[in-house]
Amino acid sequence: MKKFKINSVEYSIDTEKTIFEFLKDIGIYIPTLCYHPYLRPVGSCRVCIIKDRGKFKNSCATFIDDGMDIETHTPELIEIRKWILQFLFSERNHYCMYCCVTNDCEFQNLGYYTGLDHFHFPTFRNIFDIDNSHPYILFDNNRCVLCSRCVRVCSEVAGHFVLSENNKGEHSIIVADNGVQFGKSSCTSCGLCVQVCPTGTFVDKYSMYLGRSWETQKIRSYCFSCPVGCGIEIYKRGNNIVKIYSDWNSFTKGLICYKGRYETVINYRKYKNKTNIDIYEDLNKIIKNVDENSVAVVDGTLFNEEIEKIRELFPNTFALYKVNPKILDNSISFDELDNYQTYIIAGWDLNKEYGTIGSIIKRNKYYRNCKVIYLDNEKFEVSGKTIFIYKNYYDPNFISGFIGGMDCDHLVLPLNTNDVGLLKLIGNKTLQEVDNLKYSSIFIFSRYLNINISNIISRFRRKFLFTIDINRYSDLFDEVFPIVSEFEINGSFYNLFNQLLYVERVFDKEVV
Amino acid sequence: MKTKKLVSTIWCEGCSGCHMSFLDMDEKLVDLIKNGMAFSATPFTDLKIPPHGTDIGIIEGSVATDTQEEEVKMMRERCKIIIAMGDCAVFGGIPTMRNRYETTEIFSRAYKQAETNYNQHLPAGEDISKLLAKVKPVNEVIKVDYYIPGCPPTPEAIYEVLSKLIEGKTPELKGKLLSYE
Ligand code: SF4
Ligand code: SF4
Ligand code: SF4
Ligand code: SF4
Ligand code: FES
Repeated sequence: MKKFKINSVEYSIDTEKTIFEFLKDIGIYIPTLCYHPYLRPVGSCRVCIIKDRGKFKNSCATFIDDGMDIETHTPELIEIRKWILQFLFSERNHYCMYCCVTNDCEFQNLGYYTGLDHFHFPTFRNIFDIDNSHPYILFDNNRCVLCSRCVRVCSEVAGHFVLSENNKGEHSIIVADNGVQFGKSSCTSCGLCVQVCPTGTFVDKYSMYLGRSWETQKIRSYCFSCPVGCGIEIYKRGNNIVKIYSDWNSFTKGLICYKGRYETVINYRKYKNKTNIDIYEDLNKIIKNVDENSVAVVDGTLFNEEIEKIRELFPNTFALYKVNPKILDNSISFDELDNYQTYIIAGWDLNKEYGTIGSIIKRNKYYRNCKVIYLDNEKFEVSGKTIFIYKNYYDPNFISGFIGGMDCDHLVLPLNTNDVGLLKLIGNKTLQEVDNLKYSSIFIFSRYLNINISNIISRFRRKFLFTIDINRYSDLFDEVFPIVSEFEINGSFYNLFNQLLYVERVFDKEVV
Repeated sequence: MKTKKLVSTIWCEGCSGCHMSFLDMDEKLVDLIKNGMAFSATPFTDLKIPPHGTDIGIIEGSVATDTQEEEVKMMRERCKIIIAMGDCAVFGGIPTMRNRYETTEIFSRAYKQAETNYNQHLPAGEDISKLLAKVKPVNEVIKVDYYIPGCPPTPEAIYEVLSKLIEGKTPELKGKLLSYE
């Protein structure tokens, strides 16, 4: 039991807590800057300074101890916080009127909170180059306060280890890969540095000037760009998506990859107002009669509800491709992925696909010294609790040829977002296995057609496609129908951990 | 009778947006006058030089030339209270964007390389002010008593400060009145 005083009031706790956490619990606000609730505290900026028995301490990284006598808001402390902020403000370019995060900036809010209305020092003496080489992120060290949140999130959370600090004192800057151009660095574009940066140093090119956070509506959802289904927050304003952030409170605990953060938004903007068919609601109106000569083919880029609707309408519905049935045996959870000593990887690039699983493996390799093995023809040895993570190879012999009777867990990575749903609802019947094709009309339903279909459709007289990008295949089909994006429908899908995830409609579909 | 508080303003390296905001006080200007404010060198009178003994001197814009340096020093000499009005005067603001470059580079870009400039002459002559090497906020040149940040500051913020000063109180900008943009 620790007994201590805060502003002369006595308290006691029997758990480990930082001063900041305790103050938050009892409703006392202390300004913070380098502190971030989901990162390890480093206590470097001193904005959260308090006084304990005559000594100044940071509250975010100091644990409560027996006998402490803490002062939080004496005139002296308020003045010191203002000075600390002033040092930070005046050192770099904090001319808010030409900063794209103004009015939506944690650092600026601290200035307002402390009533900072001028600086005592010359400002902005060291000028650094602005790095605009990254496709999604603008990187301007002139606005950095060196809180190191970006460095910590890039390593501790995302496992990418791209960012670090360079130089000393007022010349300190954040660098990618020890000083290469950001766009040429090993950055995977997960965008977490942008998400945690309290200033306009890292900013999203795709969301700047489209709306401040407080002008947007936040919708919690799941990313449907791959079968992991990471928790996301969609920031919407009018009929646009301003940005997508990761959801710290979802099962993926704040992880996200470039697809979820950037590509979904870019895709949405690309097809916005160009498609208008909601399979679930409109299919009955478009297809009146389905005769016995018609066959439907669906894939895992559709939600469960859409697949069910199609199956209802077409007595003969097949899967566009085979899904490895072992996927249904994926029994570990996302969390448990952190607990292995050896990760064997086959058929996928952990910086490009299933990005957040890649993050987990990469951070464990560094922090827990785990072994990561890329499966090839070389011999390898495994140690400790092992997991084999491989992409949708159907041939079980392929797998056993490599790992034989090895004792390890498996995780199969399906190709498309809802392949598990496809398998559950349609099974593994594909057209290729039907010998005597009696059908003459084919209806293919695929939001993002990403496999070669020319062989499949060549045997049919009449061919129809329901997809999002109507121009891409128009010459192969009699007619192509534009279906809306995932943002314009309610739906659900099974992720690769067999969790059923619900996605709420973000926009009403546009009438074209 | 109460003596009037005399106000003068000058405009250094700024866009005049702050003076626009000052004028945007509209009918509140009348309140200020009723409550004891009088205007000397301001946009109302079109006078340029504040008289000695001015009570409140308001400076818009940062200090970017030798002339402006002299002007703000003159303001300090002639005014009892100096207010830096707007981000340029308070922090340096947009004009400091040029601090990244040498003055020779700036001249060359503006007068020689500029796409619209055909005769490519550098302006020269005794009467033309010289650029300082770096643009500075006002408080790097003279002592400033009160600051109204904002780009431009809102008429409400300017009114708050002036009305408090007439009453002999210390103005303080809080909440929406304190803004850096
Ligand atoms: S980062 Fe924040 S404080 Fe700095 S200039 Fe931009 S808005 Fe202002
Ligand atoms: S985008 Fe992600 S990988 Fe790239 S620097 Fe930022 S945190 Fe690191
Ligand atoms: S870039 Fe942003 S997050 Fe990183 S140290 Fe600078 S201010 Fe902090
Ligand atoms: S890993 Fe998959 S689900 Fe997660 S953000 Fe990336 S694309 Fe989306
Ligand atoms: S927030 Fe505590 S030291 Fe930075």
